[in-house]
Amino acid sequence: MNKTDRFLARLCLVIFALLLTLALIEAAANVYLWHIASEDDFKVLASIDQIKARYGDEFFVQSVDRRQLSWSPHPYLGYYPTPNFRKGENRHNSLGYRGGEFPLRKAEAAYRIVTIGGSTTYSIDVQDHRDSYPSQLESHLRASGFEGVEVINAGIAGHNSYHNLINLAFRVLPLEPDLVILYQGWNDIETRFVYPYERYLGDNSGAESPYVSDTFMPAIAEYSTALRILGIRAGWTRSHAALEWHFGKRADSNHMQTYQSQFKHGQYPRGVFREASAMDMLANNPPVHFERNLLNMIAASGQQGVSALLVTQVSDPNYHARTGGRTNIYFSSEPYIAGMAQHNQITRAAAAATDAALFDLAAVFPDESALFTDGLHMNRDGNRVRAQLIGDFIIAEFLS
Amino acid sequence: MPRRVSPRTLLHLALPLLLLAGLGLYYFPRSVTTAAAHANTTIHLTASRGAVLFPGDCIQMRWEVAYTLRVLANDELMPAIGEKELCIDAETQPTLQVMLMDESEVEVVQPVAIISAQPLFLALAFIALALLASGPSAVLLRAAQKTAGRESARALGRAAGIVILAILFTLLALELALSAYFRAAGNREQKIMYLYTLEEIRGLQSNIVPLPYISWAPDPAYDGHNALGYRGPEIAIPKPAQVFRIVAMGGSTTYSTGTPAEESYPAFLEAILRGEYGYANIEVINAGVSGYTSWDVLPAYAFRVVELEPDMLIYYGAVNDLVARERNSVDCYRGLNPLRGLDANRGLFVERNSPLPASALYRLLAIQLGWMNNPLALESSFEPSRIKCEPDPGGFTLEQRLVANPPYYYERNLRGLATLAQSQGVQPIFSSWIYNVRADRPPLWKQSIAEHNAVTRQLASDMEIPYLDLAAEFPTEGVDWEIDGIHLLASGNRELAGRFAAFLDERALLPNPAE
Repeated sequence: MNKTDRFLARLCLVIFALLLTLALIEAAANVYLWHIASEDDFKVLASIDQIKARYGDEFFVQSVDRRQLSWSPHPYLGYYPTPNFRKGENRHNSLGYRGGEFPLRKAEAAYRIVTIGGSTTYSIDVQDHRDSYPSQLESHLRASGFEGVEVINAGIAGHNSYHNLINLAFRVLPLEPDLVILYQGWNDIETRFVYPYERYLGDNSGAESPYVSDTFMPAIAEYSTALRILGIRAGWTRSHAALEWHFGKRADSNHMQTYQSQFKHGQYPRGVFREASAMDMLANNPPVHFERNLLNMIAASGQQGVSALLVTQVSDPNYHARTGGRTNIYFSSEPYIAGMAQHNQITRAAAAATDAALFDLAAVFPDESALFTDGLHMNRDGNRVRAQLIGDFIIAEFLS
Repeated sequence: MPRRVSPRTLLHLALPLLLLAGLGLYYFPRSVTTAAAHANTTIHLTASRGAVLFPGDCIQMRWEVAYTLRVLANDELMPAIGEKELCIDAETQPTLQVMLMDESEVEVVQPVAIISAQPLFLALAFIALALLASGPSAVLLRAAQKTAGRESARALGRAAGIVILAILFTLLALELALSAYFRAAGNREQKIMYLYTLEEIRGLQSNIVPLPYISWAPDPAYDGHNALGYRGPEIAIPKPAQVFRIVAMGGSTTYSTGTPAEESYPAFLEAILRGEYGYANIEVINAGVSGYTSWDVLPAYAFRVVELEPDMLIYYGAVNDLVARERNSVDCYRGLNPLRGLDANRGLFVERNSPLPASALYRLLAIQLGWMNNPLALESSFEPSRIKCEPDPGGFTLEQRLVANPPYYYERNLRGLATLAQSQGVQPIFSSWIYNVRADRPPLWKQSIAEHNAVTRQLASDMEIPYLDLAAEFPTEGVDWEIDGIHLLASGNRELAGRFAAFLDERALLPNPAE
């Protein structure tokens, strides 16, 4: 046997060994993914086919186009509810509002209320759109004898006062509402988790990045579990689980998620928070932009003859201590409590300084953790109580 | 006995390479041009490539038309000299519809072949594949036949080794050849698609940066822009106590595309107010951004411009709002449709972050097979909103759409702008928007601009906003315009600024210079 032969034989052996090793790694990765990894890790690390195998097509609603998710890109809002979206008992109408259809032109006799806000208005923790607070508000008002009232849910999860102003100008005022309800403040806490402080700017570019609309995993990563795990962990590619949220990307000077992660794992303060604590960030980034956006919303509504009702936002800081729940446990921490209190104070002051009406829901909402799912978002009963309290105020102030 | 690979086997391996090289040559990115003449109108239409490999591949089309009333490039209203990217398929070929001076239309098509759809390509690809497959099989087969017993395993291994080496060598040769080819002979699009890194592609992009909520703003790093992303010198924040700050908002005609920063109309306005009228404390900021419609101006004012603490806001614009009226079907524009007036083609600003693979060969395959995004999309920057609109009944023309889609979003957005300014104690100033009335423009285009100007005037009257009717008083002679008849040259910007200065002074809208 000559040298070439020996070399080739060894080369083949090496290649065979390599392939075998890769196959073993691949098998091990699959065992880990299917049998060892937590549910959350599975969602992050699985391929589209694997997610479908475990959760069914429902996970990627209307999975013919995997980008057809509950949120769709919007050039100014970043994302908005996907029109005609259906998932279980949840639905968006053809214009991209949560709930049923309504006529574009308001009927002569109708009294149209549009609710603006983030996930707490969208009512993200109830699956059935009829359990949302705007839907229950409509039922409550109609049951109270005001048949002509219609309530439109214009809430979009994750949206802050910047989004809400654009939503008001481009999607809400054209619906010719008689009344708009602004229920906001919580998501604006994130806009202040900005460091270094010179990045805290009036256009919110310190907290939010331009929108990203697409995720792309190299095809080979769809097939090889080992490669995909490596790629996602090393940051070469993004996870399918992140798809829904690619529309609202965070700037690198936004440290809220780092805070949440550290707090959850008992590691706070580390890294950037050694230089500036979360409370330092809130103190150095005062809520001037929240106030500005709120005043602009009041002015824009007033000019069109639309009444604005400001509702202070409710949270339950004792939720996690009382229930032992761990979901969004950082919601009970100091920066959120302080930030929420500041923003509600601004809301009260804005109502006092303008024609806008104020309903101080935070002051009268029952102190019952059973109405919440995580100390901020409400369950069906919480939404009902909220709808009744706000509804009774509307009856007294606007409908009687 | 040392074995030699037979010449026939080599042929089997080399022939496919030759065939592929031949295809590459045929695929050579040469441009093709069609020329036509009708009466005194001349038309030149060029496609950057005469052939593309697969349907959906994009080329750059360029054209020059002399003496025309209007040019549509694949149904999009375009200037007489211009270019656009076009993705080719059987139905979509580079097409110009040119309106001659007598208002008749001619159509010029520059065909671009789709190689993979042609029988010759399929035949060649089949032959290449067959040869590529038969070569290695022959090697393996012969090795198996000629040896027996203990030797056979080794011989098979050796043969397999040759095959693997040959494939690796082929791939390497292809990779080197492709990258050398694209580096030397590739056009800009091919370099973006197959060679450039993410950073290099970003570096090629224009003078704007993406922003949340507002789409884009001028890039602070670009020549002539300041640190806050406005065209002109640095701006003091907070505003010095004695300064009266005027902010000029609008599109490229405020930005003053085509002239240097110091010859923009806002820069002239500041110079004239200070120099000729003695308003020493006046400051004029150029907040014009190319392409801004009233949809962009409203959030840009709410989130960016208010931070400059303006005392006065001048709005000058209209033409960019025509785009959504022209391009959207009636359903998209005002039907029961979530878009509601948004330009259906104006999507989300896309920012892709995944690094691009370095291999030109991989990218060539992966882009064609849909394994990766075409890096060209980085350049276009906008992801369409994927909303389906009903087509217009009977296929409206652009002009019919202008009539069917009235400017009520323009009205609404401008009203919002003025409302915010007034509620903050900022004095809004409106004006009509002007263009070179002697430029060749379709009558309905002119009529639409007049509609926008009428909306602005009515709004000014409703909201008690000082209104300067530039369109009524701007000179038609002795002012220099860009060839498009929309953008002013330096002398024109000076004239425009002079009109604004005289108006502000006459109406006593500025603080007394003596104070």
